[in-house]
Amino acid sequence: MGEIRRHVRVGRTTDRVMLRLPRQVRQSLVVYALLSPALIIIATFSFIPLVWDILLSLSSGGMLGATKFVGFSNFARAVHDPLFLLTLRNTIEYAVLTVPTALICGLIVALMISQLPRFRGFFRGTVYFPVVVPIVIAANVWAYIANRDFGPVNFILGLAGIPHIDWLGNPTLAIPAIVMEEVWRGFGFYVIVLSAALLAVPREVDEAARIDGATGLRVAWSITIPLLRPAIAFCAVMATIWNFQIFDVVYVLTQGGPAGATATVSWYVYEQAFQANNPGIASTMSIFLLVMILALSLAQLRFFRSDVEY
Amino acid sequence: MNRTEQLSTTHRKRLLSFWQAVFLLLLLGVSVATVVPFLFMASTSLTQSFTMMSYPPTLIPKNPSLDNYVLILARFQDGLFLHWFVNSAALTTIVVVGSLLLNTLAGYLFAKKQFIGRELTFLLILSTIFVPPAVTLIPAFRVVVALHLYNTYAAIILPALASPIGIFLMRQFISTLPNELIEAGKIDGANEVQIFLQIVIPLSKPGIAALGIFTTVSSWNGFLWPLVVLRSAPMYTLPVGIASLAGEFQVNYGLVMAGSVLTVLPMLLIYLAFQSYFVEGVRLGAVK
Repeated sequence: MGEIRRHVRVGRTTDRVMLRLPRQVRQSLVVYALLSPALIIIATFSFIPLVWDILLSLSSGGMLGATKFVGFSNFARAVHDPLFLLTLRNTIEYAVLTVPTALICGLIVALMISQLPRFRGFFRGTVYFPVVVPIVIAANVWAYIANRDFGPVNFILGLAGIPHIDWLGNPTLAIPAIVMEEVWRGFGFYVIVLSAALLAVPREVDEAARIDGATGLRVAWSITIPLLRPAIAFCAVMATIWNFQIFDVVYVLTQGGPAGATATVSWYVYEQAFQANNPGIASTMSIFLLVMILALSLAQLRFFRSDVEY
Repeated sequence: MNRTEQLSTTHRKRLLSFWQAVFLLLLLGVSVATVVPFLFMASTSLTQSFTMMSYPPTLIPKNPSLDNYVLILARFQDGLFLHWFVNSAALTTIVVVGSLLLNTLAGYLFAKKQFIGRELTFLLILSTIFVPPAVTLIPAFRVVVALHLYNTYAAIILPALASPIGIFLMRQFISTLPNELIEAGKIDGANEVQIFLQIVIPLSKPGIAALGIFTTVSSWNGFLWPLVVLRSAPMYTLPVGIASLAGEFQVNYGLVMAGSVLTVLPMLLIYLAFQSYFVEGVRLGAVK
């Protein structure tokens, strides 16, 4: 009797498993049907292009015609192209100058705002505003601000007796001028991220340190900033990704000039693909960009990894 | 508490408020520096375009006039600017509505449904987040040409209808919703469509609002993609149009600035109205 019952039970369990499998498959099919519009779009415009770009970097041919497999010869050409090497250098220079400056400005402003008893929302709102403005517009505004003949920057310098400077036309000053624009336009983002992270830092930590006699600066340096490490890491990674891709501002302000002094890799990719009709070499350059960004992001995540939890 | 202790506490309190005053002044300086360039933009847009640029630069124009606005809205190349404005407004509206629907649905499915290959599919979607636009630009352009979408609005709309970041954010948000609420709906006899429309969407409103604002801004401000896939000037969006203006009329800052003010104005109004959602959006993406 007991044996029979056990048989029945085993039979039921197998039945249930058999029934559940097709049901799970059926349910999965329904889910995929609902996901299909989103999946098709992401596949068509992001995922397939990513793979295709790698294939393009190994081929030659025009923007629209047939392509021919050429192996790694594009990579060999790229590393011998002086303008590409210059854009690579410029891109690194932009990032090296912009990322720490914007991050430190963002951190200092966020810390100052967190100390205020009032007006926090006002200051956060004001410094974040340029982030919401189209880069094209911010760049135009900057072109006016930094204009040689009638820009306010030269006017103020003129008051101190400094002759007018052609910020964007001077090969050595053009990158710093664009970096200033990017810091001005972008640091508000880091203020918002770090402010949000500061809200999550327990007040007691701060108060305990002060009762122990630590000064404000010491609390910020030894306690608050280490606690912000994950948020700072996020900001550093995002800042690196963005600033390695500078395009809009270069397009509007200098078109890469004077003589390639401000051209970035993204700009050169665009130029090679859409003006020089040279997608093979442009894809190759974009692969360089991709590898650089991935390597740096991973390195930063490793560098900022911390065991601090709160 | 003895006297010395009392003294030191009052001293520290005063010290703190001293630093607070310093911070307040510094932050005021930072705010002014952040906003002043936009005030120059507004001021320049109100000068007379055909006169020389005023020097020294002034924040309040001597003879303010709306000439530049009249010029760019009514007379400039048969109202080309109005075309750009309408294009940007229409495209942004379509993209925001469509992408919110698709991204919320996808986020819900990834957050609350069990299905075969869920983790792998999600990982593949996530893998495209950190790919620079310069990498996908050329092949995506070829896709657009192959689909006969070059120089059409569909080339702007279609790729923007689903975004990996949007799906990721909505999944994060919806996974924090308690399962019991969805189960309760099932017990009450609601079908899957009703559960999504009447339970999930209302509960996800803060997340949807934050993503909606984020999408509005990125759609209105997008530059590289519309620059590449649109050819004819009347089809341009505002940023592409303004960039072309700045190229053509390098000296006519008044006209460019009037166009810039009109481009920024809708974002400014949205920003002032929904500021808390901007902060919420950044917080959702960064801290979680």
